[in-house]
Amino acid sequence: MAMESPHIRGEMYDAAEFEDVIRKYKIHGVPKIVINETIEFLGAQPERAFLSHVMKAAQSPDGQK
Amino acid sequence: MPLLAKEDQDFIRKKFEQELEGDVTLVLFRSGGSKLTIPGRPEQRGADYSDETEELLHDLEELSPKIKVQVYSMYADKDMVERFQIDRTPAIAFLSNEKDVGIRFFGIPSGYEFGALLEDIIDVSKGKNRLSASTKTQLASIEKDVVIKVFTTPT
Repeated sequence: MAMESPHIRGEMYDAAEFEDVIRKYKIHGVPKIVINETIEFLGAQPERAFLSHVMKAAQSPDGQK
Repeated sequence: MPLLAKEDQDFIRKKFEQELEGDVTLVLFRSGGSKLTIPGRPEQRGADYSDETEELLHDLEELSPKIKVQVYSMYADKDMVERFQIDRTPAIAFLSNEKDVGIRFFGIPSGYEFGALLEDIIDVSKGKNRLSASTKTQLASIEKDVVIKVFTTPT
């Protein structure tokens, strides 16, 4: 998705290396996906479900959780 | 000594030969200095896996003429750190035709992440991704910045 749109950045984190990340995002099960700090979901999801999360993040006004 | 086992190197070299098209540059941001220290100027070893990640990327560079690696220091190369918006190390960014493709790997890419790294190298090299046409249409409508963070741990 990052390749497709210049507005999208994709970041992969090896959470085990970063204590602060485990704490901040409460990583218990992996993979965990967080979009724009607000939308969270667990597990590999099919493309359509994933896309709906991304579109929701892209459409929500700034500052809204 | 390379990090990748001989069988893995052979497998990956072949895969790259078959699948890579354009050049891909892997940009590494690391703690401490580069592994290639200048005699008389010993750099402090990073407290993270920067050394191993650098070695891994150089291993990959050996496996195809289409892969280039650039190494920057979090401490010394502040302008690059800012340009790529890096806040932790080791971090890998991807360049295709000198353009930041918007992909980052934080931490040494091992286990599942390594597979994802290889797939990303191939996709970026092809300039193609695996998304459906309808997904691409919807993504094209996005005007706001979206940062997708994926957290994994090696199994």
